[in-house]
Amino acid sequence: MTGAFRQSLGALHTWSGLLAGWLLYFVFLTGTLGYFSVEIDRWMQPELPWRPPAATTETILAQAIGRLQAAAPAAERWSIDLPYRKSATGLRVGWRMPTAADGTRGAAGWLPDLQAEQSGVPPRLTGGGLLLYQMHYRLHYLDAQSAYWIVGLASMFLLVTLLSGVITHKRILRNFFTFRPAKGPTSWRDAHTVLGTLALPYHLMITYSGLVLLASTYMPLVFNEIYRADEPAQASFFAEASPRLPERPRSGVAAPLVPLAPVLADARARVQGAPIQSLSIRNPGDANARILLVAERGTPQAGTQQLLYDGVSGVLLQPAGLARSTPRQVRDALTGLHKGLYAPYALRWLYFLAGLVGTAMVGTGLVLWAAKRRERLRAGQQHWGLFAVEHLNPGMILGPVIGVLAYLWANRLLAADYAARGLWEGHALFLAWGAALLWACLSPPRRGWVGLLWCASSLAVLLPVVNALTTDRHLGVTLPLPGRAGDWTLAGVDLAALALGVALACVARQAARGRT
Amino acid sequence: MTGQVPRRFQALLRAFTAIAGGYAFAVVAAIALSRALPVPPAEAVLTGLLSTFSFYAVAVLWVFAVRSTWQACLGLVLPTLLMAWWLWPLGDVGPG
Repeated sequence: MTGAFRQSLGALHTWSGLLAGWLLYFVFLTGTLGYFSVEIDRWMQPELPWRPPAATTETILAQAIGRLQAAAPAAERWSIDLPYRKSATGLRVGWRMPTAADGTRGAAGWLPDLQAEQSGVPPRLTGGGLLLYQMHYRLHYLDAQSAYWIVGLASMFLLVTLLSGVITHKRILRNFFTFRPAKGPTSWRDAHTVLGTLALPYHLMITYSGLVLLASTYMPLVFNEIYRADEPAQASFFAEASPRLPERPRSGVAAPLVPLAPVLADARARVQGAPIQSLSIRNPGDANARILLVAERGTPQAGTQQLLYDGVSGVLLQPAGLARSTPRQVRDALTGLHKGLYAPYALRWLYFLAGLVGTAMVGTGLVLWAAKRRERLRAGQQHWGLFAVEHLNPGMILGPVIGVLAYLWANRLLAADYAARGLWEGHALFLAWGAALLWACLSPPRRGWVGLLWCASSLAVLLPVVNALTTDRHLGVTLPLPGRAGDWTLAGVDLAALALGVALACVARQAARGRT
Repeated sequence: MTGQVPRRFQALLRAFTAIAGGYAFAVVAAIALSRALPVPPAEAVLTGLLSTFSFYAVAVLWVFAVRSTWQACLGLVLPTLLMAWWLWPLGDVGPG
């Protein structure tokens, strides 16, 4: 490999890194939090019952069917998403009315949360962990298509940056064991390399699979060219892509729905204990009723196993384990790995750490960008690009952290019955980020860094305090102690905030002493 | 200062070639691959979609790795055109 080649790739690595870096940093941060979106959801609705009574799937289903029969007996379809271990949403019970004669789709809706209904206190409206998770590909304030394209372009930048970074560091192993602290740009470069290498397989995987997840959005021509005039083939492609109930008209003959317990038992035996993920029923109460059960595969190869039953006799019509083509398996494996939903808790934490390392890699890369250029300039010399980056970096790196913390603060501080609170939680994130950015822009870089570090640190440390003052789900009761069950999910969010706050305070002290 | 203007232009040209040319190359290469594969359409398209981002990445790396800007552009445009010519021989309507 020639020196010029690596040098030119080095320049590419640096420039594309900066251009996409700020956006990618935000994407990494919110995406990493997304691994715990269910837990954050739970924390953001403290009104939910203390410990939901453990219920068997059979009970949950029977309850849901009873409620659907009362609420939407004439529906064309009922759907029940079960709260299994890897579910991103918890129990959801919904229905859709038949399509009208003129072709307009029937109305659809979700039933309100049963536990919340029973407990009497409606849980506060919130964007929850789900909104944070969605921000990493939907951003905010943008329509989905534009957001996908912007994030896709940045992801492509990251892919190229990672590859060129690997090629640039030909002595990658030696560099990996090199860290020279307190040496200005050298330290930042070492940190950037170590962080980048540490989780390199994770970074390549998460970037490539992220692109693959939205491949048909980014590369519509590939799809169109092959399927140009072949509509049935198109339909079959999409049918394979997402589990669907087969279309089937209502017979008009009423027939009671088969009891679900035996159907469930049969399905359990066939999927060998894989968690049942969802259940949908077409034409409930009709002789043409169909039941589709979807079970998760317990491996990163994601994908689902589907079982189709007759809704009246309970006879299995279509067995599970439909053969999947090799490319389909590769795709399922990639998307499964990206979402990490198959991962049990320990592995989910590893994902989370790898995500944090990714966030830190992008962050140190951005700081390195400025530090390297500052080093090249003589004292007192100024360059507009460097000036801008040095002033924007604190707000773009710490701003999103402050924003997310403000989002959690807003969840506790906005009145629980305020109708637009979900909306304003989101606004709070960007208002806080905007304020941080503006303040840091107007301050000298070092003061910007130190000020925002202390600001983020105090927001994080005080989050459990605000929680304790505004709700009765605080560390004083949620922390599991000997003789007390507590709730790790609720305590975990508070503890993570505390840990973050302490870490940020340490960095702030270092930065104030002038070691940045 | 005089030498910097063409250098900047060259950098811009490279960036444009990498982003737009790389995209065109990736799409055409993916279509060519899914055409060439002797598998059912759904599998072929999925294989194309899965590999298209690596084509894109390699194309971008190529554009920035080659010393001469013109060589970089030609090296990307020529294979794209050749594949397009194979996919849609003259007289055909082309994609879309």
